[in-house]
Amino acid sequence: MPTVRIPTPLRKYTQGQDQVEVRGSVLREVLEQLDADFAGIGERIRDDKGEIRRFVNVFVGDEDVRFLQGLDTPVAGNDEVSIIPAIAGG
Amino acid sequence: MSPGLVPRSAAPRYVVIGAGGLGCPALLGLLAAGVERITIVDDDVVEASNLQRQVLFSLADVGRPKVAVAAWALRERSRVDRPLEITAIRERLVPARVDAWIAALSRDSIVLECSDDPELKFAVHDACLGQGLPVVVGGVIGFRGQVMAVDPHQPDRACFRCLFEAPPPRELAPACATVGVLGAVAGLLGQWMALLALRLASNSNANAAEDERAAGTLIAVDMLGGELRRIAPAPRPGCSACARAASFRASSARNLDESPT
Repeated sequence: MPTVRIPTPLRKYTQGQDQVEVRGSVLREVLEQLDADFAGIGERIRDDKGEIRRFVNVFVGDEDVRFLQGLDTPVAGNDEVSIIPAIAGG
Repeated sequence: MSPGLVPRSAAPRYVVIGAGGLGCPALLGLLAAGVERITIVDDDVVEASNLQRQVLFSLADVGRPKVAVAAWALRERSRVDRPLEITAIRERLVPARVDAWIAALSRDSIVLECSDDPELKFAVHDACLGQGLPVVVGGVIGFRGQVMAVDPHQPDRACFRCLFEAPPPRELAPACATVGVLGAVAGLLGQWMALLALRLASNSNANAAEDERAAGTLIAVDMLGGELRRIAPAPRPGCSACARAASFRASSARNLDESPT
């Protein structure tokens, strides 16, 4: 099953876990299942149209999914999905 | 200055926006490298809660303007036989005024965006690209942070907006004063910003081997687990900030063509 790495500000939705295994063979499915497994996390990553929020980067492995197939990017069983939000503190 | 870092300009001006958790260590890093011209911009005064990370300030400075204290602290730590020009600007930069403000900077400026305002970060970044000025953008919160050097003269390298298309809404981008930040993480990232700025200033930057170029790579750290990630995507097609840099380069090229011989 693919692994999703959870950034620190979103770990309150995953009971503190920094990575979780989530079913899915394309990114869209993985994110939907992630929200089903951990309620509330979905809207932090995707907007109400279902698109990835503009201040968040999602990677499958080392590739930014915007340069792949976006939400239709295939995700293999041993892939790692990373969510990287912008940090603006100073 | 360490050997191998050849300045692009004889003495670039380093403009540090925000004299806080990132700005203070960045200023120390610049000073230690022997830079000669520094501008510091902040409208805030020192508070006691700043002291755990804003390392240019002490308890005796509480209530005083940060830019004045920072300038004094840098002078106190500098060699009297080395030139050092420090300009302290006590001003609140707001996104609406940033374009004009950045346009007024000298052409050899390198900007370090160390504020805690997400919209300001993007505005400063975009304005720098529109004026052909290299910029380092940094952010820190809790145990985590990000730094990225951007060079508008390297169109094959991503900019900050290639990665993050828009600033997060303020409620999703809390400030250090609200959520907290580990002083050592701010220190690490501020000094890293100084190092990136020095590399941007170096003549060798644009010609270095692919994996050694400073510009276009976001460094993301999570010091709770000691993780570091480098993200260096290709420039994003349709990026508005890259378009501003391209426009600046085109207009500079036209000015060179049209200048009297």
